[in-house]
This record gives sequence, structure tokens and C-alpha cells, in this order.
Amino acid sequence: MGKAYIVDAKRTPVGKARGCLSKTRADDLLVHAIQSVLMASDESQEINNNIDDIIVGCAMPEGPQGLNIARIATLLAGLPDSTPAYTLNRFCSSGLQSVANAADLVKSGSAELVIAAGVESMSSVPMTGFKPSVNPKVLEDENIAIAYGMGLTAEKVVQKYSISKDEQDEFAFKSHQEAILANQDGLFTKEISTITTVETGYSLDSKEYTTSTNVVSKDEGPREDTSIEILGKLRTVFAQDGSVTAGNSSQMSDGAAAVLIASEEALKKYNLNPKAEFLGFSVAGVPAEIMGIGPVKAVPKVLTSVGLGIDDIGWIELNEAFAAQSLAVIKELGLDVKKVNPLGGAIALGHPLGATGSIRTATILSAMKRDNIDYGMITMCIGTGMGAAGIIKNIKN
Amino acid sequence: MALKSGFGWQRGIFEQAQLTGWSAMRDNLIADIDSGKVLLEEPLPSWVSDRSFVYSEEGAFDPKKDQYIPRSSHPVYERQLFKPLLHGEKQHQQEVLLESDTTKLIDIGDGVASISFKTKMNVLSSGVLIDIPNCLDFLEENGFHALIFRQEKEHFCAGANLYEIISAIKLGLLEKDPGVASKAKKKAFEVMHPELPKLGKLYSIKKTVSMLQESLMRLKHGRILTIAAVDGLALGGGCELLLHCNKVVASMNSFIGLVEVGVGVFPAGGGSKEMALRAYSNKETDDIFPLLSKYFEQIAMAKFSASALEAKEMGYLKADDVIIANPNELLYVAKQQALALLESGFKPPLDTTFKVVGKAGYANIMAQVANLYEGHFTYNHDNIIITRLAKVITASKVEENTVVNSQMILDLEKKYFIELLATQKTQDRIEYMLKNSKPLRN
Repeated sequence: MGKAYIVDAKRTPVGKARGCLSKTRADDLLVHAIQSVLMASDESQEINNNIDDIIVGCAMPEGPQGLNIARIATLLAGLPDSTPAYTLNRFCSSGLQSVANAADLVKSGSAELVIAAGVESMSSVPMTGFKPSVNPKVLEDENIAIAYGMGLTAEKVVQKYSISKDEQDEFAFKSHQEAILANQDGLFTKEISTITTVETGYSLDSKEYTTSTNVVSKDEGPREDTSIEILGKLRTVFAQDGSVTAGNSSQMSDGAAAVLIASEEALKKYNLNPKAEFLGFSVAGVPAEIMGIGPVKAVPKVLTSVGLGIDDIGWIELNEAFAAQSLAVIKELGLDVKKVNPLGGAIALGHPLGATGSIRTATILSAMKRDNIDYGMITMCIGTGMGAAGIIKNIKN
Repeated sequence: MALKSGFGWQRGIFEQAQLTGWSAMRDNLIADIDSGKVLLEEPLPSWVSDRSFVYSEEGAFDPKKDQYIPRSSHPVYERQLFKPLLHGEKQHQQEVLLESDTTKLIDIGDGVASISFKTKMNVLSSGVLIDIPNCLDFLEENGFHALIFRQEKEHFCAGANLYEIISAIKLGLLEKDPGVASKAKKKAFEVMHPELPKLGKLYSIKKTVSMLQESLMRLKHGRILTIAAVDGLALGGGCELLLHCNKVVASMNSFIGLVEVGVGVFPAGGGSKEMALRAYSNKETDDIFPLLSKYFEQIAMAKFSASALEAKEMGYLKADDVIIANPNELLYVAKQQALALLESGFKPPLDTTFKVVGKAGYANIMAQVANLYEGHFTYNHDNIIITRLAKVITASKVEENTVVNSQMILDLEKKYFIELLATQKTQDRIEYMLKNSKPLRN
């Protein structure tokens, strides 16, 4: 087996659902991410003509992000007809799954250059898709947890792992504070590719068409106006006597990211300097009703597969689907909280479902280079009861 | 009148005094003034002592003019047919066509009749259910073309007669029609409880539901054009009644909803059927489910509208139903609507077939129900009720988009309605509502 190298990773800023990127189509977000990662390469034209495959994760691949958005965006990005592409879906880990699939293609010798990406416009497609359809067999007692909303599963985690509302709100507040500080220090600048959005409308007053242009270069989610007190006052929405609120849950968001993966041969052929090596990836199943603890199974599995221990990992991007499940995972795995989401997580930065894995790959890559960290890990829980984890090794030049 | 119309008082001060007894009130006041029990030291004006009433058939007394002044004859008041009267005013001349203990049918001219209920809160008692088809028969046989439901008392209709329902259950009349034993029990019950209202004619619940369904289907599809003139509460069976009328004219202050879940059942007089049909007819795309899901949630949560405008958003009023500001004009506007519809060749709608969301829609709804239950937003018995509602409103046994007819859904309504009434927790809910006028959560 060969090795899979990460040449670069770029992402759009993450907008709130119905926020600054809501009028930008998902395929346009994806085009922007793909073009950004290709532009980052010195040999872009030659690379452009030799991409073996483009793999795009998307959790709700329908409507404006349906019809194999991967191939549509590939062609819209100006890549040649010869560039194939496919869309995959493993819900919230789709953007990391695409990186893993790309790495596997390269490691197995099936491909030399692959773009792995993720995209989600939650402004365009509702959380459960346009026409949810539950199999009647799901209603049977042994299957009913498949039907549980994600918020309810977080409440189940709260019950099972005895997580208090205060702990959740403190975790959420910390996420915002860290994201705000990271923004102030410009720590996301290298990974974010600024996007210019254009909205056309019509003024009933002036009776003229209007165009508004907006340059978006920062994540929209972090809230400077929040506080422990404000978070504490938010109402629970998933259970009458619960503790999970909109404030201690991840934000619904829009965004995309792309990661360029190359083989050793490709590095030489195109004179590329890799930033990291994608070491390994694992997924594991857990009960659907406590899907949030998915990483508890996936993390040990991936560590074993690459021969590392948890202490070897210097930076952990743990997707904050909910503060409750993040706290349970940290507790169960005995994670060092200082290493977990030092720049904030999805509660502050947003969680554009299928894009998150690729977005956080871009984040961890920047962070590992900046802080000279050897190994980093991206992990997340997945709806219907799974966890995923991927490990990246820094290549120090 | 200003205190009643403008401030919501049930009676004005002078009207109440006249109703209580003008002379007695006056004499007591004079005695209190004389004995220094009130702050007033001045004697009452002479016009108070000179008469024994202030409202008469000639009008209202004006002390300045020292005469009775009739009501204004401004043309705007011609729109207030059978407007509410003050105590003592000249009674309206009504041409009564039929009258019983529970309903009154009057001729309002031009081939249009109006029916009002005499029951408490205008509920649909067994007597009302007997009278409605009799009225329709009468109107058909005597050349009438339209019937307006317009109550003379406050509220449109607060639903079914829960007292009759719980009594029928206690007398063992869930599915079986009354026999000698139950009739004797009824009589004994009435003797033992003279303080309670007398029970009307008793039928089995099964028969009562059939009567209600048949009457309401006839209102919608029969020869006589039907219009509901709605003001105040139109809840449960009252809402089902207006859902089946060919047209609704509602005052802004109309509170409309299918709230049966609060008393442990769900709409079984055709209300569930009508909302399934409206979800199919009003759908904005090929997909029936989004609208059906909304209607289901409204019924499951016993929601009712805060205004007639909201009732339109909730689907209880149709887009072309009419909303007016002044409830005193309801009968006039309803009659004009009837005449306009008849002039333009009104034909009653056919009882057409429609598509249902079937087992796929049922599964989707029950997934939502599971989340509500697990999140402790609903109680055990709520779950049992809304599961049955879901079975009915989706026609849960058939495939998605299966074509059904009204009778199929009506039969399901009846089956599950009776099933729920047989449960102790539903009976507890009904009894609690009768005693406390608020729903029991159990």
C-alpha cells in the first residue's frame, strides 16, 4: 500500500442557515472550494487536467444539491470533461468520508490525484430533506430509535451520561469564546477562501433592479453577544424536561471545502509539497438512540489501525453536534480538553452537515502547520448511530 | 348598547336594572340614600321615580327629551337582521317554520331559512341531530333553497353534548341501542339526580355518530345550499358542522378548531375526513403530506384559531369563505352570499374520491409522535388518541396515493372513536371537562 498525502485544503467561510451564504447555491459553494484548492497549487493547470476523481460528501443530496452535485460542480469549475466525480453520503461524516475514500484510491494505486470535498447548504434543503419517508417497520419497538430526532438522541445521552445543563451551557460558551479569539487572531485566514456573493432583487420604491455584493471572509456563527446567562435562559426544545437547547447545539449552516490528495508519484510528477499525510480512517456503529457517542467507538478503532495512542494526538477536531454528546465523548475517551477544538467547534462555527469533515480537515491542517503538531484527529458522531474518525500526520519540511 | 357592543358587557347598567326590577331597584336606592348608606346625598332625578322601565317597545327613554326614542333608522342598521335586543324592546317578528326543544327554524325570505340551536353553548345534542335532517326535509319539500346556521345566543357551537355521551356510556349504550333496561336506568338516574339537566333522547354512541356523519354529509352534498354564520366558539363538533357547510361567513372573533383530543377522542363527525380531503385538495405540489401533517398536528395538539383570519391559515375556513367585522351583520351577509350563489347556479359538490397518504404518511406521522412521546411532550393516553387519529387521517392500511372515498374514512372515524370512548381514561377526560371546564391530562 502506498501513502496518501494532503497537498492542501481550502474552505469557504461558514454562513448561518438563512444567513450570508443563503442565496449562494450549494453547487456554486462547491465550485468555489474546488477552484480554491486547485488555485493553491503552483502547477494548477497541469493538475487540473489530471485529476483522477472528485469525491464530494453531502448529507442531503437532493434539490439544489442533488443530481450528483459532485460532477455538476466539477464541470462548472472548469475542469475537463475527462474528470469524473461522485457524491457520497454518510450524513455528518460525509466530508471526512470523502477524504478517506480519496486516500484509499491513492493508497491502493487506483488514482494519483483526487479531490475530496464536502458541501451543504442547509438554507436550501431542510434538515430531513424535502420529502421524508419513514419505513413503517421503523415504528416497531426495536427500530423506533431510527426515527428519533438528533436533539432527542442528545437528551438520551444527557440521561445516560449524567450531563448537566450548566456543563452544556459552559461548553457552548467556551466554544464561542474560542472561535471569537481565533477570528480576532486571524487563525482561520489561511484555510478560508474569501467568497463574493451577489444578490439581485427589485426595488418597489425605485422600480429598478438591485444588486448587492457581499464579500464574505469570516465564519458567521460565533456570537460575541452570548453569555452563560443568556444560554441558560434558552428553552429546551427536544424534551419537555430536557436540557438541550438551540444554544448548546450546533448551528445549521452553509459551507463547502475541498482537499487535494496525492500519491507519492504525483508529488514527484507535479513537484508538489505535501502538508500532511492522511494516515487512517475508521467508522463504527453505536445504538441509534445515543448516536452522539459514536466517536467513543470510532476513535480507539482508528488509533489501533494506525498504531498510535490517544496521547500521541496533539489536536482533536471533535464535531460539536451537541455540547451533551461532546462532553460524553470527552469523558468516555478521557480526552485532554485542551486539545479538543482549541479554536471553537460547531456550536460556534456552524455545522454544514456533509461539509463539516472537509472543513475541519482544512482547519486541522492549518493548525498543525502553525503549531508544529505531529498528529491530528478529526472525529464526529453520525445520525442513526455511528461514529467516524480520521488521523492526519504533519509533514514537516 | 355601547357597553355591550363596545365594552363586551353582557348587559348595560339600565338594562340590568330593568331586568332585575326597576321599581325595586329604585326604592332600595332611595332607602339607602335616606339612611346615608351611600356616598350620594342628592335625591334621584324625578324621571327615575316617574316610571317603571326605561326600555319599551317604543324605544329607550331619553331624560332630556322626556320621551322614548326609537332605534336609529339609518340604512346601515338594515344589515343587522334580527339584531340583539335589549330587555323590554319590541321583539322581532319571526316566521317560525319549525320549532322543538332544541332548535328553531325561521323563514328569512327569498327562499332562505335560518336555524338556531337552543342547547347550552349551542351544543349538538341528540335533539339537534334529530332536528337537522327534519329541517332539511321540510325545506326541500317546501321550495326553500338555502339554510343558514345562525345562533341567536352567544357562540356558534361548542361541540358535542358531552353529558349525553358520558351518560350513554354509563348506561351501556356504546354500540348497543337502548333497551328496556337502559331506559329504566335512565329514568332512575333522572329521579336520583334532579339537579342535573334532563337527558335527551338516548341512542347508542354508534348510532349517534352515524346520525352526525349522515347529517353533516347531507349539509355538504344535499340539495339545500348550507351556510354557517359563525361568531365566537366553533369547537369540536361545531367546527365539523361549519367544515361541511357549503360556505362560511365568520365574524373576526371566531375561535375555530377541532379540539376533541382534550376530551380523549378525535373528530369523528366527518372532521378527520374533511381535513384529509382538504389536505388533498389544497396541496401546493403533488405531495399531500406536508399539509396533512400540519392539519394532523393542529388536531393532535387541540389547537384552535384566535381569529377568523387564523382559521383560514389553519385550513378550517376555505380561501373563499367570507370574514366580516360586525357579528350583527352575519345573517344579512350570509343571506346575500346564499342569494348570490343561487343566482350564479350553485350546485352542491359531488362526494368525489380523493387520494390519501396511506401507510407511508402514517409512518412519517408516527415518527413525529414517537419523538413527542419520548420527549415527554405527550402523555400515555395522548399517544393512544393521536395514534388512532393518525390511522384515520392517513388511511394507514393502504399504499400512498390510494384513491378512497369519504365513507371509507368515516367508517374509520366511527370505529376508532368508539374504541376510545370504551377506555377509562377517555371517560375520565370527559367527566373532568364536565366538572371543571378544562381538559384533564392523563
